[in-house]
Amino acid sequence: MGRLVQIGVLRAKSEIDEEFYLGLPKSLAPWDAANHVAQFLSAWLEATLNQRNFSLDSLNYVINELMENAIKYAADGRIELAVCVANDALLVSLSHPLSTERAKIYQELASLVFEGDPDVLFAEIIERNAVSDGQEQTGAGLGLISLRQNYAAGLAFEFQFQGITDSALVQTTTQVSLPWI
Amino acid sequence: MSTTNSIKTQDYHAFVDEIGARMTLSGSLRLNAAPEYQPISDLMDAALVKAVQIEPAVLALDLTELRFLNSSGINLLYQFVLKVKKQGGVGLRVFGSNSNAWQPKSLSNMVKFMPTLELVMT
Repeated sequence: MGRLVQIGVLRAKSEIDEEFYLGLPKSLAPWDAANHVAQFLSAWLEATLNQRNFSLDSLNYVINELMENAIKYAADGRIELAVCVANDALLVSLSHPLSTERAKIYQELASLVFEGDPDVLFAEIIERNAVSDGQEQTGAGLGLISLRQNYAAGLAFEFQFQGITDSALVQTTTQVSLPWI
Repeated sequence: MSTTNSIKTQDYHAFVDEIGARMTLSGSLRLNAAPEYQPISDLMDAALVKAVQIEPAVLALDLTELRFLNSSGINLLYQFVLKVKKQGGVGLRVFGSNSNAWQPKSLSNMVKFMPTLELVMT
């Protein structure tokens, strides 16, 4: 077993009442898959979780952002999405392999987003992108920050390093908790 | 409405009216990062150039029918706000709708970046 790095605390399975799981290979995840998965899961959960109050639009945004990041950055392998019902929140977890290089970038970003003030971070990234002529320089940064800033979402991350070589893949999990309304 | 500049796909419509006083984005924008947003960014820049030449120099950005915008699109909007601020001498009036859940959350910060910006939520 390789090194495990956690940023925040992923919710344990024992806390979860129900789970919906969806997995697809990266090779079958074109850009539109983010939209399709977000639309399908949001509609399905709206139909099945009728005794819970949550924002369909928020869930749609969260799933879309996580899937977009996975489609952009995941290494070849499976993208696994789980939507779980916990007592206090709806949990969205996305797991996929990352290259070691990309995992290091994402780990630094995750620490920043987890610890920093989202309003300050948002302003910093927008200003930084302006300097680089509008191009996004930080990958998933703005999306993750917007989850905290605009959707009161909790974030937790897990990086499972499989080996010590630079070519090894890092199984990465991002968990977003959306409090029940 | 007749338009001089327009980009229309199955998912979204972006257009600037004839005199350039109003830029409208509608539909659902889920494009992949800044390069895919470039044509829309160019359209917005063209609207700004036109707005400078009219009196009063106020550009309206109508987002009331924009149902969904991903984070790359949010970056696009905020970069445009910074451009208008940097341009100077041009007012910016942003129209949003509370019925689109992302808008009250994501648009409200615009005023922090450009204090003279007028945000009109309906």
